[in-house]
Amino acid sequence: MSQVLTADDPRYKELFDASKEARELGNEISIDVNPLLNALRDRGSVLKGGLRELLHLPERPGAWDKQHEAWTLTTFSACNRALRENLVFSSHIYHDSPPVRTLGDTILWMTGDEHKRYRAAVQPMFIKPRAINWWKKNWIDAIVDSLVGRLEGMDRADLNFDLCARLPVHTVTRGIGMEGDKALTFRDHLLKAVGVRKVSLAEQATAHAEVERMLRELITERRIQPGDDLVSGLIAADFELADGGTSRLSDEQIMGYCRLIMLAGGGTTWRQLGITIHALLSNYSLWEACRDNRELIEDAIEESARWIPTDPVFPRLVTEEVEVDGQLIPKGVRVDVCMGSANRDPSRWENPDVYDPFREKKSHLGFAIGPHQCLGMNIAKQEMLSALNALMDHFPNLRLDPEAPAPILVGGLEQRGMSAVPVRFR
Amino acid sequence: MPKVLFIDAAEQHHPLDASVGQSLMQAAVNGGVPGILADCGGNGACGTCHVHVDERWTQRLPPPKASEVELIECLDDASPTSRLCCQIEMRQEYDGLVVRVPAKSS
Repeated sequence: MSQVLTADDPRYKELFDASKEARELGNEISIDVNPLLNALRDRGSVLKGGLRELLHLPERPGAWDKQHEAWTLTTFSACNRALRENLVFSSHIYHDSPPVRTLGDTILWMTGDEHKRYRAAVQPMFIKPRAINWWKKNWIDAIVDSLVGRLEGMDRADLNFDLCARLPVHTVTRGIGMEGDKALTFRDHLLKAVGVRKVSLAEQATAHAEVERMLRELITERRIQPGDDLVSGLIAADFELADGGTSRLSDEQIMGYCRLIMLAGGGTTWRQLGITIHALLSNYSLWEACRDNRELIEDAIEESARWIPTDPVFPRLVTEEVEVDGQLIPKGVRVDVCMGSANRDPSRWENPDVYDPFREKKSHLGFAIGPHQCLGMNIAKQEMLSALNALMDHFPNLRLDPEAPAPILVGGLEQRGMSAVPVRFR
Repeated sequence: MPKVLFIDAAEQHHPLDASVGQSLMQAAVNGGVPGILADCGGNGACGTCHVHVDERWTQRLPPPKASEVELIECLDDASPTSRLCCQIEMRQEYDGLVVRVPAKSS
């Protein structure tokens, strides 16, 4: 097992602080947006103006290099439709996003047949049975064991840094086939390369080159000696071509998948796990209910992603004039699909602002839906399940540290997480 | 245009026209067949377009890929005739295809 996983490495605080990340990204907000998103939804399902404009927040610097007129979708039905109809509400919007372009060939901005072919090469390694029988068995459980073992020696900790940050970044690093000791070095380079961490252009270029070097080295090794990991799986995958033939994936294509998986897999699960642990510990009867009936944990995770999805808004490009709930949205505009407000739509959920794992199960948009539904969703759920189970096994009386400042939701409009998850173990 | 018949969990019949080249799932979604949720939009990732293919047809369709089989094995109500209808690309010779939607598509 990697040394870095359980080390007191200062880079965890540098790379996994939701406030600091948002400040560097230039999109930090200091308000709880949930009531504001609800109010927008109450105004209408289709609103003229981008989400930031409607909330009177400035546009993110450098987010788009082509400015589109923007609209916002707020209800479950409108957002559900937009996410499913990906040819009309197109992911091509990401072509105008400099940060996304740094990922290289990525499924994030593809649509239709191209997206289907690219996704098919990687999807088999992310289906639920693989999450359980491959990811969990090979990596997640062992990483959780080491992390919880480290916590055994402590009276109190901040689970944001000591668990939530560590588990996902090590899972995806090991999962693609890279050594766990490189997890933080790679993430640091990747965040700088993509522009999440603000550095000079020269440093960004260096980081980009380092990301490429580390991935190419891994791919080259695995082409010679395959392992039981994601890069080896991509090397062996039959990639379907537009004409119906098949080929092998190039190094560049494999790097595109890896950058996306490492960026999203190392970030979102970190923040969502903190949100989930905090939701349970601050509604202590729910912690006890899950602890005493572990089958409930899956519902607790699902409900957390409905209640506070870490990423509450995704952009799409309208490719033809389209009517949504009686409103004509013109061709060429950007729509901000606000899953945050959609997931609290009172026409779909009773008492939608309440965190309630016992509520009737209904699909939500916390992992999006449709062709671009989160690729790593099943892995994320297994990571959170394994982590929560281990906490409940080892620390049944885990509680929020009453002496620490109360944790709050922080970060940017586009990515949110807990300020901290301070706990007492006994 | 090949015709297909979806029989939903309530035994309601949904005769549909499917276009050659589109997936059977897309035909079901366009036709509003209850129980075909298709949450992942055809990636073969979620299992919410699970159908039981009529036994007269199972051998006439191309066999499922390994990951489709793996996913089906963990679905409720899986049977030897189970398929994810997003993975079946319609051809003219599938005219008359009959599939049933299980009670719970999850």
